[in-house]
Amino acid sequence: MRPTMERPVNPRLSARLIGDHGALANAIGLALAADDVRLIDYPANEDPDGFDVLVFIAPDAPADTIASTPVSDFSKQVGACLSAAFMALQSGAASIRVKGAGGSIVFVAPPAGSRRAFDAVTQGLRLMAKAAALELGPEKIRVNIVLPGSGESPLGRSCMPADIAQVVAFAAAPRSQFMTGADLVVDGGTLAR
Amino acid sequence: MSGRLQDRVVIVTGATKGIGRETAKLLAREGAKVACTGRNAGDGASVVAEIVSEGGRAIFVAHDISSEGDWRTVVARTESELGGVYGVVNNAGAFFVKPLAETTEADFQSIYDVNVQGAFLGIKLGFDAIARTGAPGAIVNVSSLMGQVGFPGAIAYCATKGAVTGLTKTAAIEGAAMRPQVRVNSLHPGVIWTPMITSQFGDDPALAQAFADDTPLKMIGLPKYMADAILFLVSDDAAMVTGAELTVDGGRGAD
Repeated sequence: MRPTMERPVNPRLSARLIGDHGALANAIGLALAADDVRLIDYPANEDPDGFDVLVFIAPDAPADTIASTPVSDFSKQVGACLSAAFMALQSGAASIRVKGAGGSIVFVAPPAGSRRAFDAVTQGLRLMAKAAALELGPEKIRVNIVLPGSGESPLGRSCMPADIAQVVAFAAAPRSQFMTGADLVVDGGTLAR
Repeated sequence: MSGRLQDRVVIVTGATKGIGRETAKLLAREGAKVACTGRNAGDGASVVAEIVSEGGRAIFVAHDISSEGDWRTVVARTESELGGVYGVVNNAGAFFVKPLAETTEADFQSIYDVNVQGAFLGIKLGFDAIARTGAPGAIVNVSSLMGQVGFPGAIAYCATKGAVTGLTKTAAIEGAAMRPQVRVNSLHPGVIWTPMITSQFGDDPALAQAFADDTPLKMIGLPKYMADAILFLVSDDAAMVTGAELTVDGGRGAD
């Protein structure tokens, strides 16, 4: 008999979530569970077994105009968010590699309203996701971004946490296994105008 | 077991093969009653038989999607045999490879009739059919990665698929203003290994591998992946998704 050094086999996928521990995070946990993906709540670097899915939720940014935004606020806000996403990518990819079966990284951009100074965060995250998709693709690690809307939309209501969470779950689960480097817009038609 | 589309009626065009066939089967597995349309009655009968053998419900209706008369027949038979329409998947499409200099007006007109007029009629008659049910609905238009970027040798195809992207956005805004509302989204597949591709390039497995090597994920695009994406867009998972372009291409377009 071989010594039982192997890790217990868990057929279910596991996910790590970084950022926003409010209503959106709860909704994402529920939506992932419907795809048989369970959230793990310990930090990536303390997880020797790795995981399959990383969800990074960017913090919302104030809806300030370019004219009213001091450059120090801009660089703090944009720099902090992009750096956090970058760290999430690096540590997430490392933890997904531990399991060696590929996986999915999902960015959730800040809610987009009318154009504003901090939209640079969203566009920075979009292109970071695409670059990471190209780099990590051969390892079957997918990287996509969910772009939520905010406020009134052509559908006549604003985006609720569950609306965003269902889209995150699609991007996270194997049912989107051929999708990487993609934008998933969930805004009730706002950007179609 | 109750599926994501339990008892909802969906029309899938081009359901006799490729992406449409996989989509019809997946939607049926999720509880939908599917009207499978296409030009080949034999293939249509076989997809219906497969769905029925799995316990699903489906009919086949012969369909030239560029014909408004055919569309009226499809909708009428679907309503009488399956019930009021919840969704339309405008999947059927034509494809050929020809450089600009060799593309004739007749070539251009023929691909326009199928890809643009076909999708236009599907949206227009789909809206009418969904409105008659008094309940919300969803339409998915299968565009292409080539409806978002250019591709040498495929000028007519790119132009028509770009038109589908534009049709989708306008229809989404008009559909959002309807009561009840209709969501409209476009799917943008990369290279998917279907008869549409093999009829132009041949079916050598080495070619399939070459297409796979061109994608960051190094995967051959299978119709099943498109079916999963169409199911997502047509289901309530995408309740706040309308006017969106969903690209599912193995990462090809991110480059």
